[in-house]
Amino acid sequence: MNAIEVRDVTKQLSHFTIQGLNFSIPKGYVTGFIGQNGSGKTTTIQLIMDVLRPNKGEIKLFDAPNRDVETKQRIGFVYDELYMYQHVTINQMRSFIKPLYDTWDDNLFNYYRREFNLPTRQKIKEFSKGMKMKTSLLFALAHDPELLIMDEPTAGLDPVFRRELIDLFHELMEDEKRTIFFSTHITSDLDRLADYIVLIDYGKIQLQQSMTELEENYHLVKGTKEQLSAIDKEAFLGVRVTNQGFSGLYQGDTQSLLLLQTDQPMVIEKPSLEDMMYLMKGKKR
Amino acid sequence: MIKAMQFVIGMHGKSFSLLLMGTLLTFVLSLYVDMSWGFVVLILHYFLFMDILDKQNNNNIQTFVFSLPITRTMYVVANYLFFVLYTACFVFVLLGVYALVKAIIPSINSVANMGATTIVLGLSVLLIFCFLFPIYHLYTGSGKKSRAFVAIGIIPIYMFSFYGDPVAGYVYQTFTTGQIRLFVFIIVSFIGCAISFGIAREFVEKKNGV
Repeated sequence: MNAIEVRDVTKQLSHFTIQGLNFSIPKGYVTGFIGQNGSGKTTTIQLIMDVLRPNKGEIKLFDAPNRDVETKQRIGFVYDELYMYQHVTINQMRSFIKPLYDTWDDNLFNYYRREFNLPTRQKIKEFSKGMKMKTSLLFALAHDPELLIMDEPTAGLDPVFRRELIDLFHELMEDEKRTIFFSTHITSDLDRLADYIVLIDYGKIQLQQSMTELEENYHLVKGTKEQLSAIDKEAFLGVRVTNQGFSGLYQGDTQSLLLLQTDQPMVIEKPSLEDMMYLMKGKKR
Repeated sequence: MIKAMQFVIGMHGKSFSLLLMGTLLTFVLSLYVDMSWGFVVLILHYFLFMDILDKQNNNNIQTFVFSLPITRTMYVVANYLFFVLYTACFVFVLLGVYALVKAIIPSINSVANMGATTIVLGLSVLLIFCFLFPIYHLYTGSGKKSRAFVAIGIIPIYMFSFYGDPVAGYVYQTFTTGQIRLFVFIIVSFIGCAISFGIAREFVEKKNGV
């Protein structure tokens, strides 16, 4: 069963359009959602969370419509900013969020509050950006959600806490019952954590594969301009040409490239996620 | 529904307790100093409602609320129920305090038609909310538009409070001086509230919570 299923979703906003969005997030895994700024990551997450409603298409969470209250009980969410009342303390905030969740666990709340070192008497508006993100996480985790949806949870965090957070996500995934779907710009976080990757660009899904598949099937090819002219450019998923030569993202067996009669062999490497984002930018599929 | 009510009371409870306290102080003060307390109460509520709704907009509360396990309709119903409850508290607390103060200090100024006046003011407070709530939900994220509507809204309140007929005084007092007029006012208020609820529900169901 998939944790998230997005089918033919279209959403028209004044400044941006998502058209025919299709993807699914497998249950029990960590899926990273990547794309450059303005590619539609936040809009997609808000559609999944029912903050935005699609003009067309349907979104299901655990096989049920994403509007279902019962379904929302199973989700923990973290946005890129803390969208909560800021003039209250976290304990006051807890008092009115707690009744909405059947599975709310005060012990878990207190455990994470101590782990995150969050004060109970200070108002949220006095918190630093990192503390606000931790607050968001605290409320997302306190009802022991099966699905954690996060929009840039590591943005604005210092490197130490970012690492700790990734470790926490690893811990959360230990029982294999949970699913994590999160967007990020920091692709190194995904290298440490993600099982699957979804790449979005200009409101369209460009790629959805497991990390293993990505490692096996995608190659970063570097060479001279002359070498590029000897290859069909269409063979690449994306190519960038500079004065020094070219680098391209190639999918499939690279034997044919190695057999090309050129002065010097081309360099074939494993691409990083950042390479893939960079090379697939604007690619029409 | 109970969960939704608990949530909305948690969200607004503190602000409205303070609002009720402010109203009480104004009222008690009016028993010593001859002042148009009805007008002060209406203006006080008007600006504090605006402040509460502004806080919701500024903190993107809708994004948060729409992500929680609560349907949008439930959220709107809970808000309206909360305000009806608040109005009831407003009426009973004011009448209670008046009776108490009168019992302790019989020499203070008396308020003519206190029961009817309090009901009319309470319902006027409810109507202010019914006016503001749909507007803020229609124009979230577009502060200027909602503020323009809100600014226009103050005119009827001003007129309602100040430009009464010469015999009865303030407009709101005209509704407190006859049983039929009071009854009509109550009916009209609840119809207004129902229309406002229908509009707000429609807006909230369709809106994007950014």
